Amino acid sequence: MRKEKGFDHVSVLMPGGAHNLITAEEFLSKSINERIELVLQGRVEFILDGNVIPIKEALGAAKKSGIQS
Amino acid sequence: METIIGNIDKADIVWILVAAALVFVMQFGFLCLEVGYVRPKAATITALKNVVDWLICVICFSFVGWGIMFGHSDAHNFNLFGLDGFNLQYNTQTLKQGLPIGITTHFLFELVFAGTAATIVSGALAERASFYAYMCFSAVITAIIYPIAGHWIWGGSFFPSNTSHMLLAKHGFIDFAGSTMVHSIGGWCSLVGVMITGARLGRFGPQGEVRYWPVTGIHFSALGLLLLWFAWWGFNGGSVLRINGSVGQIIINTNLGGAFGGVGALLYRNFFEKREGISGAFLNGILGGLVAITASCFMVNSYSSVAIGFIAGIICTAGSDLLLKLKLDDPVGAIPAHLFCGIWGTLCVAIFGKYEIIQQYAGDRLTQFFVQIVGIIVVGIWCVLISGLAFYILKRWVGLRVSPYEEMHGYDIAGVLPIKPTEPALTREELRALFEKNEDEVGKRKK
Repeated sequence: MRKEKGFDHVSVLMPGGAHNLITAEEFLSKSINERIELVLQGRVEFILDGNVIPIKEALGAAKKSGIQS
Repeated sequence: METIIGNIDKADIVWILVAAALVFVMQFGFLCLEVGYVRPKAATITALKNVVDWLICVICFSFVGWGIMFGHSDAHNFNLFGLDGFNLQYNTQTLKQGLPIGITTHFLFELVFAGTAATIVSGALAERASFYAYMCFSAVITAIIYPIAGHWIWGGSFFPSNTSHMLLAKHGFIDFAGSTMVHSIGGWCSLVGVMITGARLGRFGPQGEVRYWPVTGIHFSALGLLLLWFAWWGFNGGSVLRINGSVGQIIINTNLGGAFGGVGALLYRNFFEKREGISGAFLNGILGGLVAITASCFMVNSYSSVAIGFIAGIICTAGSDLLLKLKLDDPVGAIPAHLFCGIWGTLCVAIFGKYEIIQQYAGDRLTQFFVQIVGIIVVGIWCVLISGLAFYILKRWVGLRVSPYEEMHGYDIAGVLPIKPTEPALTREELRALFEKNEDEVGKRKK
């Protein structure tokens, strides 16, 4: 069941130095360019069921089964 | 030198200074209580947050909060907040005839009360709130939220030109030692903070189920609870602002409220819910009872104190379960103990208060009940609006949480952390391909 979602939350590093937790749906509502920039800047961490997971695992799992929204 | 009008009673000054010291012990109590409830990896930062919110309170309340709360207000600012007494100028107000403790003694007593309201929030946001975001919010609550609400309720109590102008006090709102003023304010801000900050990672499972983590420091929480209980003697007993025959009964009522809060929580959890693991609920039930008796401890008899505390214990325990159903993660139970029981205690003024005292305020019991409800709502709206704005600004520009890695492994402000693992970097093109494939998949699923 857990593998149905690649990630359920994303932690985003804010300019002030602390993080915010947003849902996968909120993250996916951003434009692709914005998402790419966040990842390239190292400002996001993908979370599944309370654990940080590697980006390839997060997006790869989503690719296989789709991210439920 | 302090300008004092009227008679100074040294015994009164000594008692209020002792009471202020007792209320300061609440900082120790909250520190121990919270450190015991959180997982060991977050104990250090939780303790430090309790120290730093007191530090910020001393600065912000001394320079700003005191003037807002007890300075003179007038029609030009709709009596919403005080306009003098800032920047450590405590003595600009004329002390009311008959208040025998002196303005600096009174200042110290009010300072420790402000610190109590601020420190409540640290428990609710424990284990995931950013240290610096929490510091910023502590400044907001001690410099703005608490003093302005305080001006409406207690601001006119001691200065004759303010009396009868206060937004809530002039209508007869009674909150003797702060069920609303201290505890509900801390509770409202905690509620907003918990909603905006979000739950701890992994607290709720994929299907929304609650994960219960073992609490290993309950002995430390028990010590904290006893320190709080002891401190409450000064919190309520000192709120008379002098030493007289009523102080003993107030402290008796305080003890009864706390004790029967524990009984109420224990019975509710054991017999109504039939659940195991009573320790946290039991301690918070006592805390809820102490919070609830705070507003009315000077105007109820001992039997009423028993009822107030007992029902508060049930409210506190049921409130904890309600929060979990709403997916709100409050690691130490600050919201049910301080907000829910604070509201209950504020209503108890009208329900259990002696009629002859109620007659001096709102006039009759029904009107008093209505006034209490209005007071609760007004303070609630104020706290939700300002704390919501503060948390929104912090979230937008600063961020509210520590990193997931810090949250998972524990953290402290010295930056002593295990080395964060790195993963192979992806190129822009690889990322674009991955995201576009994701969108295709999501699009197909939606169709």
